[in-house]
Amino acid sequence: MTGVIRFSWTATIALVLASIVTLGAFGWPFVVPPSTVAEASSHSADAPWIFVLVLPLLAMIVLGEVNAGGLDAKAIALLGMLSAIGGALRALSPGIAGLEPSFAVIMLGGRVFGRGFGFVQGCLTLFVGALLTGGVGPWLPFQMIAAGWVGMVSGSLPRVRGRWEVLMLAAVGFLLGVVYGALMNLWFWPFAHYGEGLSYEATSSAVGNLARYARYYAATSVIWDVSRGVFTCLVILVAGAPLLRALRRVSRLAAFDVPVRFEPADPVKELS
Amino acid sequence: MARKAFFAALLATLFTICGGLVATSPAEARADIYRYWTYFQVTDGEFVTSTKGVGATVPADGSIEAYRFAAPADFTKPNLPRADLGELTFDTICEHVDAADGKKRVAVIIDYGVPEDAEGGAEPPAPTAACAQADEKATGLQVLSAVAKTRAEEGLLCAIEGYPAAGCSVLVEQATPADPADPVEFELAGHEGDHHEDGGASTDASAEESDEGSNVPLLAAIGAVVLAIIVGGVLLSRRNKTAA
Amino acid sequence: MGAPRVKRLRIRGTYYPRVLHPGAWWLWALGLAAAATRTTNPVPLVLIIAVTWFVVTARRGDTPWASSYGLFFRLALIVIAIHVFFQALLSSQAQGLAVLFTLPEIPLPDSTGIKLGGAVTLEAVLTAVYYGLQLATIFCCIGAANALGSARRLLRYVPGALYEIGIACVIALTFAPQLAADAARVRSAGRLRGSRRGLRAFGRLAMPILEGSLERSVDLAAAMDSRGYGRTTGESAAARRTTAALVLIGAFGLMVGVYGLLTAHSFGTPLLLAGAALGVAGLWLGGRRTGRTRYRPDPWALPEVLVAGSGVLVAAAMFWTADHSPALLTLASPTDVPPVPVLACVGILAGLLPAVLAPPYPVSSAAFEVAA
Repeated sequence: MTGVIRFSWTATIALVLASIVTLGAFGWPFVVPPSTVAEASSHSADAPWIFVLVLPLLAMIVLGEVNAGGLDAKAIALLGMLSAIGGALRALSPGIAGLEPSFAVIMLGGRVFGRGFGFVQGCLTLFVGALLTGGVGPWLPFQMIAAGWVGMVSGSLPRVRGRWEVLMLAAVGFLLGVVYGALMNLWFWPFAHYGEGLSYEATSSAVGNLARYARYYAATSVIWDVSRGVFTCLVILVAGAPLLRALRRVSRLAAFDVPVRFEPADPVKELS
Repeated sequence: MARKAFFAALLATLFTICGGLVATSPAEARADIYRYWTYFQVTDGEFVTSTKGVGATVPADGSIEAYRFAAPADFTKPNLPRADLGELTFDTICEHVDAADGKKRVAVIIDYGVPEDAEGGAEPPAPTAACAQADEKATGLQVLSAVAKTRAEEGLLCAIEGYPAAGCSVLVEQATPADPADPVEFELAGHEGDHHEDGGASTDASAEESDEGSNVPLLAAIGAVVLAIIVGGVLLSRRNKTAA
Repeated sequence: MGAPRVKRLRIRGTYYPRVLHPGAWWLWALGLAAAATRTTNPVPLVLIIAVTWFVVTARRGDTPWASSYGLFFRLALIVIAIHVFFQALLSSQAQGLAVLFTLPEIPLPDSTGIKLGGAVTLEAVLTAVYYGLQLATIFCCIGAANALGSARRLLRYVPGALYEIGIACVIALTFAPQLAADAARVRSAGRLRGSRRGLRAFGRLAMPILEGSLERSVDLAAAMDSRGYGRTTGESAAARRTTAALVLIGAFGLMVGVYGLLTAHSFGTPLLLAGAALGVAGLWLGGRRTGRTRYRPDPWALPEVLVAGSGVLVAAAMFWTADHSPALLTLASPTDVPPVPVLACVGILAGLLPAVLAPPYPVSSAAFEVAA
């Protein structure tokens, strides 16, 4: 798997650790051992804040390790441009509804330039989008890492070419759009007090909380998430093929396939 | 080669930390003690811990509900209300409240616990027993609300009569000591169902209640401040607009 | 002093208009938000919202993101509405005694654990409003931080270890407005030509823009390469390994620390702190690799200290009250007349001071912002 950004093994470990914590942030209501009424609701009050404090640092560590592995100017420029496109689309897309064309851009970028690039692109797109719209908040690190996963997954899909590639990406896009929404709800869910049957209960079992979350999800956000999934799917179906062509052309133009090494002995190569 | 050595060192460190955690965790895990209101029902003259939350039960007419604030060392054996159920029966608690049509009468026993469980070692309110008269379909929480102020969170009872003042089932260091065998005196509350004159139940724990009358000027002052801020902001933004 | 020195307007008072260090605004807003997390009493919460709104009105600039406060405020209203809808209207366990009205009850089997409809009581509605208000207040604080302290300017302070990624962000922020303008142009051009609107037509017109911008990125990369971007100063392999080890052990410590905190183990907090310290140290060490200096750094002068300090003051007053008279911050019953925590309220009013203490925003410094 040739990628524009290669994950060094340290970056991989950092990413795995950060992903475990993020998954914990999303999934702790179902994992933390339940007990009877004895167990505190102090968990539900504080736990999300702990993650809010810890995740930015972990995200920085992962990106720092990726960075230390070496990013060349072409990767930087391309990252900047693609996250500008994604960020601008996020700023333009109407409201908070599921219509997020930036998802398609992240997926296609990850697909063409590899999973490492896809991860960083996903993170940066969300970050830039938040800066553009003035939407920086505690949710940002969660969104960044989840969007990074989206880029990574689409970069790790099997090699298929032609019409099937677009179809595969569209199908995965639908799935990721829905899953992303479910995860995003989840980090916020224990904060909210929506009454019994819909809210997190510290005293309840994992299965009970899962059922409660399912109800909450069905009641509040399934419409948005499915619409996001359908929209991503449609964008990829309609614009996927020409977009992939354009990205691959740039990839050839920038000669990413040729391993570029900055050796002092051969300065001509650097300027390619 | 150096890289391999480094990797090995890193792994060794991680494993050491893991090992340390595994070694320490079981002892720690048992030490968790929470302080909270336990909810009981009385069946066959004995206190039985409720399996449902306080908002999910519907007590029957003529039943007894009981609450105890404590930090049991073992949550499967919570401290019971220190009441003598031979003396404190439904009839003694509810003798002055007449049954009404479409309403049910439920005896409510509230034990605020011992000073060890009060914040800062203060004296907890005196234990009370009261007769609640509520709608047929009233939940345990609604029945309790008929005789005392309640603060609940997601079906979890946090405070009765503002006791404790803050928090909801908090982690504590010390468990409540085992209760002596002889029961304590329970105050039989007035029978009007008017919980504001519940006497012993509302003491210093709910400080705002005593000076509720003097609260209004303060509230008015805050309201005036908020209004002043809003008017000032509106004037400011209008001036900025004309200046621009 | 930063860019705005060019305009030496002296508008009443001692401060020259300049952009306050964004970190000061974020600290101020975090102080207010932290205060809001300690109470469900509507009195201090409403006061905090009023304070944030006033300071934003007094000190925001004419930048595009200055309007984000309004956006967050609307979001806050939605949060309250959702809370009332779910907790008050659909929940039966939260209900009290003062019945407001009765909704038709939709019978559901007991096993689902929920009841739809039924009597809606004042207690449930108030509880929902107060919880919603707490979240809404936090939203307003974040909105104020977004409107006042340009997060874009904060980007200058990304740690050196993230230098290249920071550059990618700056590139994105420079090109994104251009792309948005391009997109608007394409849309209006399409409308003038009378082409039908819709995804397909837009896609056909947008494709040239996209391809053009991608090519621009390759040009940009070549230009950056020739100017030596993306180079690192010589870094020994040992230093690199130390950085990696610090960062990885730090991340591991964070992970285990979070687990410990969630399961209420006593090792949670120390491990979390140690992990954070190691991670920060690693990032700092990694940042030295780039060996760069900062161009025109924002000053951290007296106004910054005062603004950040007022936020800390708000939080301190609230935390002190929470510690000494918690009854003032938590209502004994939702229908109680809310008590007034005088000290906390005075503290919150100290949060108003930045409206005077912070230097006014310079007139149209947006041009300088882009360079940041």
